[in-house]
Amino acid sequence: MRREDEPEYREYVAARMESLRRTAFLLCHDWHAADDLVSTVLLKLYRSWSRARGADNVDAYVRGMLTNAWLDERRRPWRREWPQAEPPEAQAPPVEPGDRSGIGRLLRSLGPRQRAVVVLRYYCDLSVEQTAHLLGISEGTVKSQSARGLETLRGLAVDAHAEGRL
Amino acid sequence: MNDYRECLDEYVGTAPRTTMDIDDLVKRGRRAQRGRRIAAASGGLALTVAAALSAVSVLGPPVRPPRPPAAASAAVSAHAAPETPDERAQRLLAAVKAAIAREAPGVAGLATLRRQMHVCSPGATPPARLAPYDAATFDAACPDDSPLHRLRLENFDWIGQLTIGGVTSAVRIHVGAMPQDDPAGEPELVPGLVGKVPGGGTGLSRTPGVTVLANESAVQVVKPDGTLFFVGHPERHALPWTDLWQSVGVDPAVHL
Repeated sequence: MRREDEPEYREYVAARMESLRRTAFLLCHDWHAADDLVSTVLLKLYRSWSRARGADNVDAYVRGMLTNAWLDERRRPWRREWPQAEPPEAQAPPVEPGDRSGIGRLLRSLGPRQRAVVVLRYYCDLSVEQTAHLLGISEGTVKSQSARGLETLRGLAVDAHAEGRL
Repeated sequence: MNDYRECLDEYVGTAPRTTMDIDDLVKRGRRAQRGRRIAAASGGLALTVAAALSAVSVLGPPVRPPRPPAAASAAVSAHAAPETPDERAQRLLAAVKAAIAREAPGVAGLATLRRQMHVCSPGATPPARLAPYDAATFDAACPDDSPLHRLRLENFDWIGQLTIGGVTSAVRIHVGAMPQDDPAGEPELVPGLVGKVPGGGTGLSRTPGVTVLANESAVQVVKPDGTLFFVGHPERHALPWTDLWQSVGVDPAVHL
């Protein structure tokens, strides 16, 4: 990045940091991890600012970076092969104090790609086309993943209602 | 759709105060940019030197003693034959063992290091687990279209139990290719390991172009050629001997 472009970058980061942190939280479910992720992405953005600012929709571009960075991080060796660290009985996450609707628990039950699609489509309000482009997958995959994601959320919500948890 | 957004927004709630600072981000961005430029310049210089040396070797100094024909052809064939994944696994394990033995002369248990492979269980959590290497099932252990299948020939893992200085611990060692979109030289791209080098270092090794990161449970070294060296406890317990692993990771012989 050229020094003369930095004020624009600073302005963008100041305006969008909170929104990015919230999106990252929906992916990570942990504020520390969310901040790490946002920090990572903002550094990547520093490097690619000239390309990002030329995008049709800078916000969508940056959210794509955020989601892809999160998906990449989950693919890393130390995230993918620790089976003993997560025994089956520990997989049902506890209900968090702030998770009154249980949406966090429901969201976490989705697979990473499904969760990314749901967050981009229904939290960031991106279109199927934008989501497909950002994640590098087909529009059909976005449609099926978001449909399955919503179906899972609805199904879990119904179960939770039946059990009196919601 | 708005209902979903409101619902999600309510779940997120009020964000806690962040420690992220824009000035700090810009500083880190500048530093990483400077590092990339230096690395690129060094790489260019290295290529120039390599090209010059190649030219010299091709033209050949007039007083160079002739190499015996058999030795020359053996050397050529050794360079011409590409290394198979099994040969690479053996070479890497030997390099890692040699580096450990050098750094910890009294080490016991090196022979327990067994090669592992990923076995996928699509849809399960986690979607893959490490299992002892089995040549017969290696190619079919993960679906053809999965990243782990594609990475299988350039990622190598071993698990074993070592004893050093009276302390015994299981270790999991990984040598593989760094993901393409996460280049070396940017330690901040690895959440959780940033700024946690034992001794309070900055996360950058003294070796140019090599990034060393560590915390209480893992050590990671990324080299300019894209080699990722990683050591952790197989069950994510505390990892002993982190200084040792950093030295092993930066050993020039440990490379893809």
